[in-house]
Amino acid sequence: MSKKVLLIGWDAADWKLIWPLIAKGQMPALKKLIERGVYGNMGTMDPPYSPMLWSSVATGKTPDKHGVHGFIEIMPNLKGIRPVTVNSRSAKALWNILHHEGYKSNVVGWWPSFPAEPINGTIVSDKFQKVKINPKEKSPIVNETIHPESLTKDIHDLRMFPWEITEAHILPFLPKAAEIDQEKDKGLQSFAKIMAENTSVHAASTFVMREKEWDFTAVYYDLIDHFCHAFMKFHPPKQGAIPQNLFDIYKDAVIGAYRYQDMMLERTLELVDKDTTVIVMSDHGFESGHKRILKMPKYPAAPALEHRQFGIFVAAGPNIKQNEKVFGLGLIDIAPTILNIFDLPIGKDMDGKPALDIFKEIKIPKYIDSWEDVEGDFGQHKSVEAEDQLSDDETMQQLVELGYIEKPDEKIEHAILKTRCDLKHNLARVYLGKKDYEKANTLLLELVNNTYPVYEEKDIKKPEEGKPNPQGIKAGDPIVDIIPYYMDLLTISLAKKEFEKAENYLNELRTRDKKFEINTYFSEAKILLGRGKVKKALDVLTKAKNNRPNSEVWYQIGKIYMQTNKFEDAKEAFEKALDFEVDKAKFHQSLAECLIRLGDYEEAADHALTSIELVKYFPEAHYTLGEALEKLGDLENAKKAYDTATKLKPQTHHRAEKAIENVDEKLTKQLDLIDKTDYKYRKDQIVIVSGLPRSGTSLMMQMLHKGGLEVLTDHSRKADDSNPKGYFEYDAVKSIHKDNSWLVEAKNKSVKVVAPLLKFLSPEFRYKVVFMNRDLSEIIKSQQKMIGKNPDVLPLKLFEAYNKQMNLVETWKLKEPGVELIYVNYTDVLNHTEETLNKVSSFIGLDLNTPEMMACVDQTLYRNKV
Amino acid sequence: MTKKENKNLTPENKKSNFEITEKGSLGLLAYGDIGLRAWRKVKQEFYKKDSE
Repeated sequence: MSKKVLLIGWDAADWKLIWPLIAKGQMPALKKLIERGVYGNMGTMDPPYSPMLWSSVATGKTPDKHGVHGFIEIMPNLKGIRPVTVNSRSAKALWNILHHEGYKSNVVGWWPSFPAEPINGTIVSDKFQKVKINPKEKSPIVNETIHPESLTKDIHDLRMFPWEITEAHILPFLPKAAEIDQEKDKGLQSFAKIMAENTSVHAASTFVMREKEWDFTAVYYDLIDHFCHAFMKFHPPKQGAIPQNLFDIYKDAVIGAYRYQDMMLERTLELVDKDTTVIVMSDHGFESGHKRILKMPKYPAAPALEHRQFGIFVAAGPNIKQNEKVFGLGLIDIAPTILNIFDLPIGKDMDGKPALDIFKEIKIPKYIDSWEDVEGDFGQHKSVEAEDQLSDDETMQQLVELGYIEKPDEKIEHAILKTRCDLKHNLARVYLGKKDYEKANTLLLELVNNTYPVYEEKDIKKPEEGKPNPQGIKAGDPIVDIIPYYMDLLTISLAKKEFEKAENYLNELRTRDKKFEINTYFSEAKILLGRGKVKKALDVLTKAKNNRPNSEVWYQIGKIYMQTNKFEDAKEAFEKALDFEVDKAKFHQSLAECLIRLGDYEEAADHALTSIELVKYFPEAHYTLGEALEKLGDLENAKKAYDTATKLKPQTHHRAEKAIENVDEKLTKQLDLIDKTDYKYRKDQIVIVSGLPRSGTSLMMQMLHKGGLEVLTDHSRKADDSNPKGYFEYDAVKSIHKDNSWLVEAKNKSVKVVAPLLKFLSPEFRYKVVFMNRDLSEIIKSQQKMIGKNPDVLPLKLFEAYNKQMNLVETWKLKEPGVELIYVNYTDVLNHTEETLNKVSSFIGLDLNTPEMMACVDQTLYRNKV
Repeated sequence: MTKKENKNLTPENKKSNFEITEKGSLGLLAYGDIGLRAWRKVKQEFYKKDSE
C-alpha cells in the first residue's frame, strides 16, 4: 500500500462558510474529498497565531516545546528583529524525521520555512512568494529561499506579481471593482497582493508535485485568512457601521477566496493518485457572524481575536474511512497521525496523539522517547544565520498591515525589547492554555516587574492636522504596554481561586486602563462569587447581560445558578448561551451537568456527547457523560467515559477515579442483593462529622474518639457550658475554602466540618460523612440560647437558610463520587444509642468500641427539646 | 499552447474550452505552474504583436 501523504493547509478555513458553499455546489473539489473520506472540526490552541500553530502541526508539539513563539523573532546577532524563521523552531518537523528515515518531502509556503532546510526533497520556503508591490523595485530570490538551490532556475518564473493581476482575476470576486476609489481605498492593493502570493505558492506546489519524486508534500496557503482579515467585515449580513457602497463592492470577496481555494484544490488533486492520503486542514476558524470585530482594539495580534476555536479537517485515502465525521482533533495530532501512516514511531514527548479513528485498518502506533534525542542527519541547518534585518521589510510591512504586529519602533533597541516581551508573553499564554499556571505566572510576573524605558517627545510622530495621534501614545508612556500581562495574571489568580490577588490585579487594571476599555464583568463576578457574594455577582452579570447579551455572559449566569442549586434557571441560561453560540463545548457540558441534577439523564448524555464531539480533550465532558450514563444504568459505558476523563486530565481526575471504583463495585454486585448497610472500609478514608451548628456534631466526635477512631483536632476551642466535653474542632477547617492541603493529615481519622464547608473538601480523598440531623427548630433554639438570645423566638430567615443548606448537602452528596453519607438523628443517638452507634460503626467500616461510645451520652445535655 | 482548459467561478462553464486571452483567468491561475506559464506566454505574444 502506498504511503504517500499530501497535507494541505488552508489558514483560517471555517465550516460555517464552507457548508453553504458545498450545498450550492461551489466547492466541488472539497465536496468530493469529503465524500470519499472523513471530516470534522480541528481544535485550535491559544494563542491562535499562525506561525506557532503551523509549527505545532509540523512537530506535534506545543509552542513551549517547538520554540516558535510569535510572528517575529530577534535576530541571532541581537541587532534587530525579523519575521519568524525556521531558526526559532527547536523541534524536528515531520520532514526532518522523514528525511532521517529516507523519505522524500516537498514543503511549499509553510509558515515558517525560511531558510529552506537541506532535506531529502524540496523546500520552497515562505519567502518565495513575497515580492515587492512596486513593479519598479526588484524582487530577487534570496539565498536559501529554495532547497535545493538548483531548483531556483526551474521555478523562479512561478512567482506571480501583484501588478500582473487583471480584471479577469478581480471581477469574479469583486464585480463592482471599478467603483473602488484607489486613492483612498487600498482594498484592491491588498487583494492583488494576497492573490499573487497564493498563486505563486500554488504554482510552485503543482510544479514540484509533478516534477519531483515525493512521499510527503505539505503546502500552506494563507489566502482565506488574509482575505478574511481584509474583507470579512463586508461579508453578509451587512453590519450596521459598514457603508453601503463598500459593502456592495466587497461583500463577495471572502466567498470568492474559498471558491478560488477550491479551484486550486481541484488541480492539486489531479496530481495525486488514489493511493495518496490527502489531508486538508485549517489551524482555526474565522468569525463570520455577529462576533465580527469592526473596530480592532489596539494591542499586538488583536486581529487574532477574530479567529474562531474550530478549524476544519478533511482526510481521504486508501486507509481512511469513508463518509464519516471524526471528532475532537487538535493541531498537535497531525504529525503523530502522519508518522503512523508512514509506520514510523511517534515521539512520546509529542503533545498530540495519532487520530486512529480515521483509519479503516488501525496500525498499532509505535513510540520512541523523543525524536530530538536521535542522532544523525535530519536535514536541518547546521548553524543559525544572522540575516540582514532590512532584507525583510516587505514581509514585516504585511504583518503590520494585517495587524499581527505593531509597526516596529524605529529605535532598534525598543523594537527588540518589545519583541522580547511579546514572545515571552506568548509563551506565558501557551502555558496558560496548558493550565501550567506556575510557569505562566513566573513569566508574567517577570514581565510586569520589569522596568521599561519611556517614550520621549522626539519618539512621537506629530499627528496630521485634525487627526488623532496615530500611535496612541504620549511622551512618558512606557514603551511596553503591561495591561495584557495583568489581564493574564488576573485570569490565573481566578483559575487558582486566589481572589485577593485577583482583586488586586483587577484594581491594577482599572487604574492603568483609564478609558476602561477592558471588559471586567466576568472577573468582577468571579471574585464576588469566590467571596460568597452570589447575589452581587449575579447582579454584575445581569447588568452585563442587559447591556450587551452574549453567549459568555449567559454561560456565567448559568454557572452561578448551578452553584446555588437553581437548576431550572441554570438550564435556561445555558440554553440561551447555546442560542448565541451552538458549537461551544463548555456550554453543552454545563447544560449536561445541569440536566443530570434535574434528572433528565438522556438529554444530559446527548449534550455531553455533543460537547465531546466538539472537543475531545475535555475531561469534564467525559466525566459528565459518565455521570449521565451511570444514572441511566449503562455502567459499562459510564466506566469507559470516566476512564477517558482520567486519561485526558493533565492532573489526576480524582472524581473520575472514585466514580470508576463505584461503577466497578456496582458491576460486581449487580447480581447480588445489595445490603445497603453493608458498608466497606475504604483505604485512607476520612470520616467527616458534619451537620448544622448545634446538631450534635461534638457529641459524635467524642463518641468516635472513645470508640477508637483517631480525631483530627487541635483543641483550640475549649470546652464550655454549651459543650462541656469539648468541641473536637480543627482550626484549619475554617479556612478550608482557601487551603485544603491539610486534608492529607485527616486520612484514617475523623474531623468535624460544618455543613456549609463540605463543598470545599478535595475530591482527591474518600469520605464517610456522618451527618447529624436534628429538628431544625431545636437547632435554632440551641443556637439562640448559646449566643444569649431568646430561644423562643425563631428567626424565620435562619430557618429558611438552614433548610436550603440541607438541600445543598443532598445535591453535593449525589454529585461527588468520593462521598458516602448517612444521616444520624440526634434524638436516635440519645434514645436508641446502641442501634444508632452500630449503624455508624458499620457505615465507617471499622469495629469501633460501642460500649465506650455509649458512655458518652449524657441525657442532661439534651436541653433544647421541642 | 493556445488552448487550455479554463475553470472560472461558474460551475456550468467549468469544462468548456476556449482561447486563452492576454487577460488570463482564475482558472488558469488555479491550474498552477502550467496555467500560469501558458497565460504568460499568450500575454507575451499578445503584447509583442501589439507593439509590432
